[in-house]
Amino acid sequence: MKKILSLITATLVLSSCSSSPVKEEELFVSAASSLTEVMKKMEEEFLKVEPDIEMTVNYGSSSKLRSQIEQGAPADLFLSASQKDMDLLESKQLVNAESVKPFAENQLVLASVEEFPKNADFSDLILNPEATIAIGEPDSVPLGAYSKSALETLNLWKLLDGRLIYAKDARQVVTYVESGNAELGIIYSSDAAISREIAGILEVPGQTESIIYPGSVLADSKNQDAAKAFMDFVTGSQGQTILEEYGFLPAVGAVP
Amino acid sequence: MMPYDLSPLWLSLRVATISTVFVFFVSLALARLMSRREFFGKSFIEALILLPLVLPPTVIGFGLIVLFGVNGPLGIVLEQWFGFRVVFTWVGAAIASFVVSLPLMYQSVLAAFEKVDPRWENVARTMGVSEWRIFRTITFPLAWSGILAGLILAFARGIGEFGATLMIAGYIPGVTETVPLAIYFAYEAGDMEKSLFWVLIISSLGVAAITWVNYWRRKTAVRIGKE
Repeated sequence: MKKILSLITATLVLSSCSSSPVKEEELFVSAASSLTEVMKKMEEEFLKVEPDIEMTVNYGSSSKLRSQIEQGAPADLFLSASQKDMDLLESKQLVNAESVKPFAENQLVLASVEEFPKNADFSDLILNPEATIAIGEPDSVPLGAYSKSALETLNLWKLLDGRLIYAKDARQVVTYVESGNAELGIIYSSDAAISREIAGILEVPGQTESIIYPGSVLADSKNQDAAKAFMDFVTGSQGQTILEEYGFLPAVGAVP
Repeated sequence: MMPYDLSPLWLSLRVATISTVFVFFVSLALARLMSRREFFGKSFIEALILLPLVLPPTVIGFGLIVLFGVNGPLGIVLEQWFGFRVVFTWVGAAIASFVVSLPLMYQSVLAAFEKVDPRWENVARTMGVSEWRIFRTITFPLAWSGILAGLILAFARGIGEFGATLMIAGYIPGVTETVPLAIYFAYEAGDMEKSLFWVLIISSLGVAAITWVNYWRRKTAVRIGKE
């Protein structure tokens, strides 16, 4: 009996540990994995302005986050790396149409831990049969879809069939390259800019569309005000400065 | 249902078969050694063999990358001596399968050896038969049903390996795309039909394997009961 009592007490003590003092508002953000680093800084600065808000950020590839939202995952704000996924949510009336706003832009670069020779040609580098190349999975990762369309524009896609390693999100491509397990990877210039290991960076030719990051408040959000406040912060001058520090381009339409 | 490219199935079967062949010999040798000898650090080695049963797949994958990665000790040796890479190849997938199915097989073999009455072996020894021949003609045949059950389980587990495989073999469609990877990426891309197709295939393989093992166990139990 004593044993059982002490076990119950221990369980109660352990479970009470997790309930920290309740903050006024909880904000759930679903953000594209390429925003992982910049969001930490963003959160830190935002909480200086709004100390009463508690933020929880869930990272993943934008399509995965989109399908989570479609299936009713709790989220107040969606920061996407692809317009397509945002449009899909908008067509299902899951986001507040008036809140959809671009907040950053990005570019594709070919990255490696080794420096590229001067005047290196993109096609020569990528067609080198010795090199393993990582890209995002084209059907479920926006980075992969952008990479695929650039490679198709350059007529390289078919030539690389069976040679490309598909990663499950943008961060994984970076990890593959940084660890040296893939000699080359097509990643976002923002990820290349903040990486300590990546030394070779070459802009990918054949990019026909600009890579725009839209954000929006979700229709089902129980916390519209806090979500809107954070969105304003990201598109405001302070947020835009942080984004630039982390290698993103300012969004057209965001506050300069 | 539309026909899908079946290459993930053939790859999964190849990976699981090759991994199971290695699992068979390694687990026999280990179980034989462990059931016969006492030595320093034995329980540590035993724990090491069984560890993949309780470790999360990501930890196994991490360990394999650290060992076999381009900058890992085994990775460097293989690349320099044999010009051969494990990362992002189907061999990586086979190694991942080997690591997760070895503990299952090891436990089955150990149990099977322990069930063999040592008197039969001792009788043979009094006749001056060599240890290797005793193992081949007495111990192994008597333990065979347990070993076979272990093999089926190891094979089924090898087919189902996902987490560590994704980390070390990566996802290259048609090259390192095993059935579990095909399911994951089809689901991620929103292709429910394709996911379901592979889920049904891999589930029926699993059900068949377990049913067969159970049937075999009951059959041998009945036979031993009659004796």
